[in-house]
Amino acid sequence: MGELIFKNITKSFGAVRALDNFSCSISSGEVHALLGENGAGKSTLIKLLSGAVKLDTGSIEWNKKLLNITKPIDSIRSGIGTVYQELSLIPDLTISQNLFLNHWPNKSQIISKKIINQKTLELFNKYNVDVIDPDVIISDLSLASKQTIEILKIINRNPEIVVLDEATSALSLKKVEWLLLLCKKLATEGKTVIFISHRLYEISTVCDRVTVLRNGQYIGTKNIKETNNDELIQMMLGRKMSSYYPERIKSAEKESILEVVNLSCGKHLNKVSFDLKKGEILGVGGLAGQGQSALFLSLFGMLRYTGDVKLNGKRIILKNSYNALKNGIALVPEDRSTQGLINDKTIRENISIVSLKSISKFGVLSGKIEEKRITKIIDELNIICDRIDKPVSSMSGGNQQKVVLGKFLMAETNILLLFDVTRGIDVGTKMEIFSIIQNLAKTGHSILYYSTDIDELVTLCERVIVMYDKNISEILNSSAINKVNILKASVGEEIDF
Amino acid sequence: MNILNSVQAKKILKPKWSNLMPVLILIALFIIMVILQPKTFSLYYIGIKFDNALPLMFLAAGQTLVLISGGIDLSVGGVMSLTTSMLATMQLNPIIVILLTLMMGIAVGIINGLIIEKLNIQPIIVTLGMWTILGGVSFLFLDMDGGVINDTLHSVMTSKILNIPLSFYLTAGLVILWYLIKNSRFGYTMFAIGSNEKAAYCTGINIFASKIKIYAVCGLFSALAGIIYAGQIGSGSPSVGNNNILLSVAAAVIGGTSLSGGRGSITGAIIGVFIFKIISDVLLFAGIPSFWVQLFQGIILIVCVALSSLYSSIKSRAGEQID
Repeated sequence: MGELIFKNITKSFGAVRALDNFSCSISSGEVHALLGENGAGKSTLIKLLSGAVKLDTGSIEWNKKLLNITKPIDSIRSGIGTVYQELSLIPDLTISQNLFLNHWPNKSQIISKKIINQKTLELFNKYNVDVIDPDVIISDLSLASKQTIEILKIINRNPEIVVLDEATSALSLKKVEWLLLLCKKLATEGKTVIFISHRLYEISTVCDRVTVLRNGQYIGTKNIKETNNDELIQMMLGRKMSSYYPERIKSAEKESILEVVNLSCGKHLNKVSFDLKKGEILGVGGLAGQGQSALFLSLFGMLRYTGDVKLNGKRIILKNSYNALKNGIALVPEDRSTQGLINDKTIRENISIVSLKSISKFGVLSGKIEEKRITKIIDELNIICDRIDKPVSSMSGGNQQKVVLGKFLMAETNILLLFDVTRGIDVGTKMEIFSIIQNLAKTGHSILYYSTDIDELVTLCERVIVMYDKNISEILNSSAINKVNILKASVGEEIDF
Repeated sequence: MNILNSVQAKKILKPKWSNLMPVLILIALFIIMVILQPKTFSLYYIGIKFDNALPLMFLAAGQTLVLISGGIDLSVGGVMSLTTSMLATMQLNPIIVILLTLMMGIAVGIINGLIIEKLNIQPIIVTLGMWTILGGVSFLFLDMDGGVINDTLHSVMTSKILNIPLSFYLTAGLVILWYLIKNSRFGYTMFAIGSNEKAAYCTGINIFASKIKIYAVCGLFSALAGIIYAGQIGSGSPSVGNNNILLSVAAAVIGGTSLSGGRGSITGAIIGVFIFKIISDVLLFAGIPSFWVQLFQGIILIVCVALSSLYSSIKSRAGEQID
C-alpha cells in the first residue's frame, strides 16, 4: 500500500497565498476527492503534482520517497497522470497520434499508423468506449469526446496516481457514469485516484474520502459514508447555508418577446419552435449535444439557419453577431477565458468594448461617461475589484463571468442567451450569479438559460424546454419542473402529468 | 466557438479540397502552358523545370518543417548564400568543403534554436538577424557572383541517370523523406509543438531539444540547397539566397502549410515551388512581359490561401463536429 503525503506545503503567487501550510495524505486504492470553492487551492495543488508550478516550501512524498517535480516530464516519470481541465490534446493530430504521442508504441523511431490505430481500437474496447475512427483529427471532435480521449490518453500511460481535474464537467450524464465506474475500477487495481469536481453527487457516488480546502488551508478529511452534503458545503464555505439554491421566483403571465418558429440548422436542429417571454428565465435542458449549442449559436447569428425568428412580432434576420447585438440579443459563452473575454485587457476595456459608440463624443471615447456607466454595472453585478484598470486575467472565474455579463448589460441588450455560464464555478459564486440572473429577469431582461446541471434548471427557471435529438421533446411549466421529468424528457421518454 | 463542440455530426467533410487546391492549380497552369507552347510537353523541358526548382524545393522543405513547428526561419537564404560562397572560394578537397558547409548549416540552425528558446526571442527576429549576419559573411568569402566550383560537383549535379536528370531523383527522395518524417517521433513532436505547445509540454515532450533539432534540420536543408545551386550553375553567389527566402515561405504556404503551425507538408511545398516556377513560363509563352511575373505570383499566393481559408470557414460555419 502506497501513500501520497503532502507535508506543510506553502505556495504563493505574488502576495496571494494559494496554499498555506497544507498537509494531507492520500492512500493508494482509494478515490480521494478534493473539494473547495474556486480559489481554495485545489488547482494549485494539482499544478504542483503535475509540474506546472514549483512549491515554495514543504514536500510531497510518494511511498516514503521524496518527489521532486519541477516540470511535467518529472511528474509523468514519477507515475503521475493528470487529466487536465483545459485538456492536453494536440488539436491538429489524430486520435491515435495523440494517444501515442511521447508514449511511443515501440522502440522504433518510425511509427506505424497501422499499429497505433490497432492499439487505439483495443483501448476503446478495453475501456468500453464507443469506437471513433482513430484517424479523426482532434479538433473535429466534440468537447465531450475530446475529454474522453484525454482520459484514455492518461490511463493508457498506466500511471500509479491518476489526477482528474474537473474531468466530468464536459461529459454527458452517460459518460459521467462511465468515468465514475472507471475510477472505481482503477482504485480496486490499487491505483490512487484524485478526483476534483464541483458536483457533490459525483463525489458522494464514487469517492472513498474527501478532503476539503478553504483559502489554501486544510480544513479536514472525511469518510464519504460518515458525512453529508450539508456538512461538506459548510466546510467549504466556512458558514452555514440556508439552502443550496435560491428560491424560484414565479411570475404571472407575460407577453412573449422572442418567437422562434421552425428553426432548423443543418444537421443540428430540426424545426424548433418556442417563445421567450419578457422577464422570463427559460431553461434549456437535455443531454449534451442534442442541438442546444446550435440553437444558441443561431440565435446569436453565428450559424446559418432556416425558419423565422420574431422579435416583438417583427421578423428579424440574424446573419452575424453584430446583427444579434443590434437587436438586443447577447450570448454569454461557457468558456470565458477564450470566448468571453480579452484576457490581457483590463476590466474597463472588456466591459465597454461592445458599447464604444454610446460612450463616445464625436468619435472620441469619454472616460467620464465610461467610468460612470462601468461603476454602475460593477455595483449592479457585485463585481469584486479594487480598480477597473486591472487585467481581467487577474480575476477569479466567477468574477470574470460577471464581467462578460456586464459587457452585454452595458450594451443594453435585453435578451440574454446564457450557455452553461456556471461551468467550473464554485457553489458560493454560483448562488450569487443566480440571484443576479433573477434580478436581471425582474428588471425586464429575458433569459434563455442552458445548463448541464439539472438542479440549476429546476431551481432557477420558470419554464424549461428539454431538447432531444435536434428537437424539443418537452416544454415543462413551473409545476412540472422537477428532476425526474427533465431526465425523462432528456432521454425522449413520455411524461405523464 | 467552443460550444459548437456539443453539436453532433457523424463524419468530417470529405474530400479535403484545401489539400487538393494547389495540385489543381498546378495542373491547370501546366495545361495552359502546353496549349500555348506544345513543345513544353517533353521530358527535356520538364527536366529543366526540375533542375530549376530543386534548390528552392530544398529551401522550402526546411522552411516547411520550421513553419509546422510554429516558427519561421528567414536565415535559410543566408545559409544558402554562404554555402555557395564557401564552395566557390575554399580551395580544399571538395568533399571536405561540402561537409564544412553542411556542418555550417546545422550549426546555424542550432544557434537559431538556442537563442529562440533560451533567450525567448521571436523566431522571426532571431532568424532575420542571422540572415543579415550570414549575408555579410558571404561577402567576406566572395564579393560578387563568380568563383570556381569543383568540376566533379558540377558534373554530378547536372548528370542524368537513365536519361532522367538527377534532380528528378532528388525530388523523389525528398517526397520519400517527408513520408518518413511525417511518421516518425520527430514528426509527431514537430506537429504537436506547432499545434499546441503547452499541451505538448504537458505531455512530457522536451520542447527545447525538439526545436533545436527542427532548426538544425532546416539549416541542413538550406546548405543542401546551396550545394545544389552552386553545382548546377558552376559558380557561387553571395546573394542568391535573398530572393528565395520569401519564396520558400510562400511556396510552403501555397502547399497548405499554416503560418500558425501544426499543419503542412513538404509535398505541398514542392507543388508550391513548381507553381511559382511554371507561372513565369506560362506568361512568357502567352507573350506577356516578364515584369508581370511577380504580380501573378502574388495573385496565385493569395488565391490559394484564400480558397483554403474559405473552405475551412465554410466547414466551421457548418459546425461539423464528431461525437
